[in-house]
Amino acid sequence: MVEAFAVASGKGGVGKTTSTLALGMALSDRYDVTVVDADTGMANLLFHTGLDGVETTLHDVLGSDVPVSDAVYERFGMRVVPCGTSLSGFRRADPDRLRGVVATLARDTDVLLLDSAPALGAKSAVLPVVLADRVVVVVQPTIPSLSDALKVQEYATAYGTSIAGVLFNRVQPTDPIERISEAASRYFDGPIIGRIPERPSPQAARRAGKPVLAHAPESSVADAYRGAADRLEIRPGDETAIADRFQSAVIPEQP
Amino acid sequence: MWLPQGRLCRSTVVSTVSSVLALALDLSLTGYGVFSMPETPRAPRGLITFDGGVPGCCYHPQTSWDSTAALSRIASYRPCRVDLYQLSRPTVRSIHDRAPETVDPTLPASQLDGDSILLQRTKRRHSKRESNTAPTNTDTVVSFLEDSDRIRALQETTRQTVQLRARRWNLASLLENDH
Repeated sequence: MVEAFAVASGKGGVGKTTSTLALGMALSDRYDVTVVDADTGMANLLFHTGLDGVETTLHDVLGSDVPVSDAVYERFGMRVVPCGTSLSGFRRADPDRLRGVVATLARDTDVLLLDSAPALGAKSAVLPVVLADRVVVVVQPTIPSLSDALKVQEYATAYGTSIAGVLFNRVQPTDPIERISEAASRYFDGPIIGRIPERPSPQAARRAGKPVLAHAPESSVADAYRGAADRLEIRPGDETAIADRFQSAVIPEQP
Repeated sequence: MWLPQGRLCRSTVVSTVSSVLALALDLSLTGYGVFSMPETPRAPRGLITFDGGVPGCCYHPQTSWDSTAALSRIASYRPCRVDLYQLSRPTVRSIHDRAPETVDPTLPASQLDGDSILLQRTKRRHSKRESNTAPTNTDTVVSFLEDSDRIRALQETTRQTVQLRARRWNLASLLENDH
């Protein structure tokens, strides 16, 4: 059984990678979780998981014949597939190969989280939303972030990918989050699964090369992420069918 | 597309567009650059907006907001005349909020330049700006969400962009209502 989620925001800097790993760690208590850094242009996951020294990354898989298993690392109770940061690796990476990677990983996990690129101007940023079963939208309570989150939803809806939930992140104590949540819920098709407070712990966790649930498991941020993961109802599908769907998705090469 | 008239701060001719990205960082430009071919003044003009030197949107009349395609068009202007205009930060951010698409801030450096130093500079500046962004007036956020006409317009524009890009990226067959 497997369900694939794209974790997307549209706007950068909202804490998408932090959220992806936090949800992944929280879900790993109950499920086999695999997290993939699908942001091939601005890879982040490796810094959050202490993997910045590894030799093989998703760039190598997308850019040559390296098997995906070589880029899978067991970390913090999850399987983590980081992306590299080199310009040459980015240039060699063929985003269309992502579907094959997802198909392979889907055969051997319960929950697949695709940490998507911010911005929606590139095919590589949109593909995770196209390929996933559902999307978790990470949003800050600001106008730019909400605007881009609504755009993410439009992309998802157009490709038949439903919204699993909306996660408010970096919520300031002064934000009237009740009013903002209520107003936002009129536009989003999925439930609001959490409100993560703005605290120093995620930044400290990143500096330590750990997900926040590993670095500060007792923190209010970690608690809020665990609550959000609990509200994310997993709907596992048949892994063979899902793998086949990804593999056979007709995405011809661009001319 | 419509843009408010900015204050011209630099006008130059460059051999490659990528040098303008470095210049925008050096100037911490908040505003936009208009890119044209000096030898073909009637050719369509491309545009990149910047927030503190970090690219925000890329536009070309022949490709609309498709950043990758717009950048390719702009990059083909060799030599290239560029006029840089300053705008206030709220004005630029308002443009980015309303634009159908914003660009991954590192995409122009990745696509136009082989210099990883420029890419790293852009990443650092982007990260710094994101962490230094002052909280938005929260009453304004609620007002934004209560402006259903504005939200509907944003959704409709995005829908059109999605369809356009699906065809351009060969993803149209995967659209839910593709016929």
